[in-house]
Amino acid sequence: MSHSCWFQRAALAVTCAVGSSIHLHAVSAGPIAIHGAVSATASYSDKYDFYGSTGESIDINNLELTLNGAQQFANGVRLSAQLYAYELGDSSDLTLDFASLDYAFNEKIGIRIGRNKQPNGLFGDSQDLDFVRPFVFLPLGIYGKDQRALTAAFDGATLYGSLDFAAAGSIDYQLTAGWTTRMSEDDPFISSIGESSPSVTTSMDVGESNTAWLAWNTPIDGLRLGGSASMVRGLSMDGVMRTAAELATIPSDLRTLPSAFPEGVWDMAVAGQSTTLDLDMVRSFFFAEYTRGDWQFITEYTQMQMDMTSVMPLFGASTLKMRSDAYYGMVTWQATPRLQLGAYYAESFANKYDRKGRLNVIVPDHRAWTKDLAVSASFAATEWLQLKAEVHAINGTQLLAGRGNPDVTTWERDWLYFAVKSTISF
Amino acid sequence: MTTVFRSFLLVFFLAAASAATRAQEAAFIAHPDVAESSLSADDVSNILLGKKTTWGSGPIKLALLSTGSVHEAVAKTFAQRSADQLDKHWKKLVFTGKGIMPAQFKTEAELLDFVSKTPGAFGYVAPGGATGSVKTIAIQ
Repeated sequence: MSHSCWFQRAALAVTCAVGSSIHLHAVSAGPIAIHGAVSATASYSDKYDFYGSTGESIDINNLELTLNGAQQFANGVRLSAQLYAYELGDSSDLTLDFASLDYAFNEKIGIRIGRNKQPNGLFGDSQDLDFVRPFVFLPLGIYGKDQRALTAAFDGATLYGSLDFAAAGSIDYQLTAGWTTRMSEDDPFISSIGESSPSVTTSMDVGESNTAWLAWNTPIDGLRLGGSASMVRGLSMDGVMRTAAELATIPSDLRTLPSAFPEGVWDMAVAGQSTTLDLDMVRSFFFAEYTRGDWQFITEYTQMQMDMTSVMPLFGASTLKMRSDAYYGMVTWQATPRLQLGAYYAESFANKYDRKGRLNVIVPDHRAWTKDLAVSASFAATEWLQLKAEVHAINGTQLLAGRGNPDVTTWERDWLYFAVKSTISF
Repeated sequence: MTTVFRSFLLVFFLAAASAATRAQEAAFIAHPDVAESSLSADDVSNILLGKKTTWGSGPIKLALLSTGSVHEAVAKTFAQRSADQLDKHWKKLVFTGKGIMPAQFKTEAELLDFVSKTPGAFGYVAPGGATGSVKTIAIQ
């Protein structure tokens, strides 16, 4: 774990001490209702580092602290704000998760202005809230922890509401417009973008972000169908080209780029030069959710298209189109009032037109996909303390980072990932 | 024609039976100053799920029981969720900036006291449990 996480550790210690000494409920600071959550995750893999140093021993690889305050005024305007601090592997940050003014004219239409949570599929806006589900990790190829900076929130406005169609059910909607949030240079998302790239990303500007989200509450009790489409345009990144030696370690076929030049030319003419990358992204989700008694069945399909224009020294301007997709089926069961069990099977593909990795040259074909069978158990030890254990049997190495792991050419297809998590929420 | 008439009667009686069943789950109550005297079952569902947040005259202050058979029946009948699922639904709203946590009470006496003293308050107690200090809301 990094040394930059003193804040989170201190907050964790304080909250745990407070939490263990009292019965936790929402704190009322005058008219402001305060809620919070703090959690610690420990993970281990039989083969790889994944979200931390999990390949050799158990790593406490994810700490999270959420502090939330809200006040409703007499005129109906609601002010809400939330801080979210986390440590994930070597990264840590304290972020303003949302801060918004909200006013509902009626149930058909309301508006939320400020920093808003980003609605993407069923779990985009609630991806950090593990205490509302039995899983430690949502399907990794869809709601990856390292992607949250781009997908968790945006700055702008949301129009929302619920339209009643009598016997045909009702439709909940959210329409958003704004900009992506600014992220720090060592954010996990920036690291993941640069993971398989010939350049190291050094900064990222915000881009336009617009989303349409709909859910149809069908006349069939408990059945909800819906989808979302989000578009990010003009996301601009600056970077610096890697040296030949650095490039030789990335888990991508691009590692062979320097060999296209006479020996030494890459490091002399390319390495260290500035690069730019402009990114447009469209992501769509389709989902179905069926709740019956203590059971819940969920399935989602998502696809993402990224259109990138890069300018690199010697290579000049070039464009690249990437199309990835993923899907999963999930079931949860409230077995007893305190015990909830869940399982899902998810598949994700880096290139939907090359699901079997046939285009891979040096890196193994299984770098093209992730097939993940996850089983989880969640136990509510008290009203405010939740304990979880989860195991993933994973086929494919699409989600692995090069850092901390052996050379990509030696990676094996099948691996296991275990996680336990404790969460206090009030 | 007879078939159509019989079908109409069947739907009518099923709807009437459903309304009667819903009325047996709980007595819905509000602060005496709330102008509304009746709500549809869909309105109650929308209030319980945080979709309907205002009366004609101002914000709704929702009050829930935290445990018990009345709470479980109301959650199941009007929100189509178990009590635990309803609790998680509200946590999700709060931690995504979409709602403010309802007031929760362990006893009906505490809930009645809150509703009687809080303008805009709306809640429920066991059938026949409403007192003169609150307004009973009819469910259509």
